[in-house]
Amino acid sequence: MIRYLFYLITAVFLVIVQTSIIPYMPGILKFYDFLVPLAVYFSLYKPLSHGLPVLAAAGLVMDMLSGAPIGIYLTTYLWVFLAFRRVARWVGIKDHLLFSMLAVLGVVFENLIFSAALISSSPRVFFTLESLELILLQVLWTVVTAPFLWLGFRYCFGDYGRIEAR
Amino acid sequence: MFSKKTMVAAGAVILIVLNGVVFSFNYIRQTSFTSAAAETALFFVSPVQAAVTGSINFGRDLWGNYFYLVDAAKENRELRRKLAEARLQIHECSEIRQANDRLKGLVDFKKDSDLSMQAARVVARDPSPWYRSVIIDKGSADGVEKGSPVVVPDGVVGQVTELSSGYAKVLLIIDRNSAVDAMVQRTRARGVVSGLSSESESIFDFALRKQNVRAGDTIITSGLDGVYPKGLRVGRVSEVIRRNSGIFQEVEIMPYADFHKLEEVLVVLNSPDIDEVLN
Repeated sequence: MIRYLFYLITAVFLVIVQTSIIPYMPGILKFYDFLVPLAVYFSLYKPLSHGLPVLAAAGLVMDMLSGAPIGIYLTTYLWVFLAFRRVARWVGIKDHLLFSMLAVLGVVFENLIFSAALISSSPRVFFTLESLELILLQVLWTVVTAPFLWLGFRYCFGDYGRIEAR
Repeated sequence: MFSKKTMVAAGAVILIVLNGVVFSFNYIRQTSFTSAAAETALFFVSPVQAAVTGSINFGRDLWGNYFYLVDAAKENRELRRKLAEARLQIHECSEIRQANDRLKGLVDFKKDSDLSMQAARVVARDPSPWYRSVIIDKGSADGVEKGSPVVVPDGVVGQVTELSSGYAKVLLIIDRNSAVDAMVQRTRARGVVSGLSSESESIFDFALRKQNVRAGDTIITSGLDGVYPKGLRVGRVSEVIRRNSGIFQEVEIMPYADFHKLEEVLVVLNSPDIDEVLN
């Protein structure tokens, strides 16, 4: 129970960071959604029983706080969590590289879901230079920060075993 | 011939006189002997004197400066601390002054308006860069309702879409899902302001080609959407494109509200009903 509480606190902390700190930073710091790497981390290192409730709760919180259509974050996190679970068995690369790669894929995937939602709700041209720039910046920041997040998650959750040992 | 006593007295007088003559003579002219003696003495002694005096002075200076430096370093630390405090106070004063200016603007706007308003502070922004909403620290307990318009003295901000007892989510007019029924203040040409998820640009949609709209025009709310009271400023027309075909013209506007610096807002509590507007 305490473990779940700790996971939830971590998720809420990330939510607070990206709603109350990141938006006030300069324009170039258009960070991505930190909960996507968390979902990737859970998919690689945590059992289904841990990941599902935590990511569902985090997704719902994000949906409630955002102006995005309800359920879009929930969908994203659960898809990322479920889709990347078995990847570690297929791909024989080191943990942090795999994590970074999947985090980038997760961020791109989230942006695709958001793009689809925006295109379906608004007839305006979506893929403008500005929107592409926004996606590229997010990918860039993911590449830069994902290894640090991986270390941070490992430190916080105390997972020092390799993925194969799961 | 002379007594011994007389001889001694006479000798003493002669010596005194001779001594006086010699001293007088020395004051008048330097002899080569005295010069050589002085030079020799200076040659041998002065360097030692200089060394000793220098050492003493060095020691004294070192001692004095050490204590001076210790004091100076202490004073320096103290002054730096005071400077940091003063800087912090200046920063705080500057923040208070800016907040005061903003709040004064809100109060003046509230006083001049017939609308009942509730001031609120922005506590969070949308986590997604694709959507534009903010969370404010006033909710149903403060009289805020779903659909309540949110404004700042500069113009319209958005409307409340979700709320709890203490907080509310406001969909900003720059969000792609937002639509505000509006009109051109000068010509009363109507249209709908839609967001592009950009802080500096929105679209004034459905303005007929035949209607007179030009750059610099002010767009205001029409009140016909039943959400926003009539006459609130929305934005300024930045560009008008009239294509050869189509019944509408493309009008880009720049919102008056500065969404990047949104910190305090006013929630309109008695928004008029659509029937009220139409009647």
